[in-house]
Amino acid sequence: MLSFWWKKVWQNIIHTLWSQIACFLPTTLALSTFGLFILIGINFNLYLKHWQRKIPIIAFFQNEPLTEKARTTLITKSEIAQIDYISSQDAFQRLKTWLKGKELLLEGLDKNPLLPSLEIYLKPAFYKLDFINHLVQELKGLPGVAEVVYPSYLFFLVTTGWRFLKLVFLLIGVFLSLATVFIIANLIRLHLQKRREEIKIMRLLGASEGFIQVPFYIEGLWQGVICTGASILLLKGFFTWINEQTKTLQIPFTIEFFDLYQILLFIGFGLLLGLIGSFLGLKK
Amino acid sequence: MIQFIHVYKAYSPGYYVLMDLNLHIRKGEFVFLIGPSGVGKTTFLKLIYREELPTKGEILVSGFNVRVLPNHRLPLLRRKIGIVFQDFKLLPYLSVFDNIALVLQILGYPYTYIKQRVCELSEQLDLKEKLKTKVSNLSTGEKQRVAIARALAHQPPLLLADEPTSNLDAKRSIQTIDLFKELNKLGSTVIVATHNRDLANFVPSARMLEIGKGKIKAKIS
Repeated sequence: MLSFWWKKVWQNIIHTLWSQIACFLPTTLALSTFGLFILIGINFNLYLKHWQRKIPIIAFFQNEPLTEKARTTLITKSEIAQIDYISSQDAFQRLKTWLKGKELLLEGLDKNPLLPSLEIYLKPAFYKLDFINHLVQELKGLPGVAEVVYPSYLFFLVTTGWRFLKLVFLLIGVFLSLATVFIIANLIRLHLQKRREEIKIMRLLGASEGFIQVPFYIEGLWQGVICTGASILLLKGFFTWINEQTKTLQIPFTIEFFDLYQILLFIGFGLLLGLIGSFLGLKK
Repeated sequence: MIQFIHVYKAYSPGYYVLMDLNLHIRKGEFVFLIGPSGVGKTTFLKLIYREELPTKGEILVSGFNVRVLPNHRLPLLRRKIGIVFQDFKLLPYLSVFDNIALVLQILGYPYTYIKQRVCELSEQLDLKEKLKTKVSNLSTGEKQRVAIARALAHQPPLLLADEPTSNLDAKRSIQTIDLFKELNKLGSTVIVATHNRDLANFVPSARMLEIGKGKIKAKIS
């Protein structure tokens, strides 16, 4: 039975080669665009997390050292990944390094004006504005803390912007998925139309609707897989080219591509779109 | 097996092809439906496998009331019937093998059986050399033999043959009728619609129904 259906699908493909190609091109393009947006999202998310991890919450102290109790309170917090103590001297040394070549600016300072500080890095899962604000308030309440600094506003802008972008990407994704489903459904309808005589004969011979429809479902799945596969190859080529360009231009970052799990997920998604397309095409 | 109860069939209002047809064909009967072209032989067969619905009346086939049979149960009726269509209704881009095998695939037979059965039939109908040939490349007579092989493939309890020998020479016509007789011996009901009265001479035990002017007028034998 299965070999019969495969044979049927293969015959359908051969007999409707031009319409298959006509369907393949826009579907691949739609899926490639969709994949591109997913990849932009993945990379943006990676860099956002990378950026977040590099920005600590800084608590400045009046010259007094941090009390033992306060130190224990901070160290035992499970949300904190790392705490670095920066003494006044270390801070001044950093300033000097930053102002290298402009040391004149530091002339006339009779003593080190910089305060000692703690640089607190959070575990990735806790880079959330609510938690950060809560921690900032808690730090401000510790004895000897003069000031707590964190670019909350920037963090808010970036995370809100990212949330908005995700929504836009989702809408684009939905639109492109619908376009793919629509194209596949129309291909199936076209083939149904082309093969209506054959379907009529099969019905006369006692074929059930399921028996008649299976090759069309396989065809939709096949379109989904082939187009997803082609769009992955297309995107891989494009991303390899982009990475080569960034190397040539010495831009210090590489763009991540789908890992194996994501590729399988994307192909699975293509299969699902093919199946929905077939279902809609056969509905009437 | 088949019962027509006050059956009327009109393709347009007032123009009846079949009128008040009452008929009973028993299981295992061999029936010739004889009449000139255009008198309603094909319509009579189409009513049995429900390609057409009666305008009035009831048709019972193998326990199915054809008129009220829901669409999803229609395959159950048709799987019990082997049909030799007048226009063959073969799939032109499939090979002879695939066309004959189609009905067995629909019924879900395993491939080994399908292969064996198709080879058997192709030998009986002189199609062995043509198994891989596309149907579109066959002569009309060969196409008719493929249609016959397909109808016999699953040894159906009911065989309907519409002018099955119209494109065959005398020798092959007799061969075909012999195959129908063999199937009939196994207990199947066979109905052959033909304009060729001589064909009935090869099956002395057959019942002959003459159809004309919308009625099955005469019962010969």
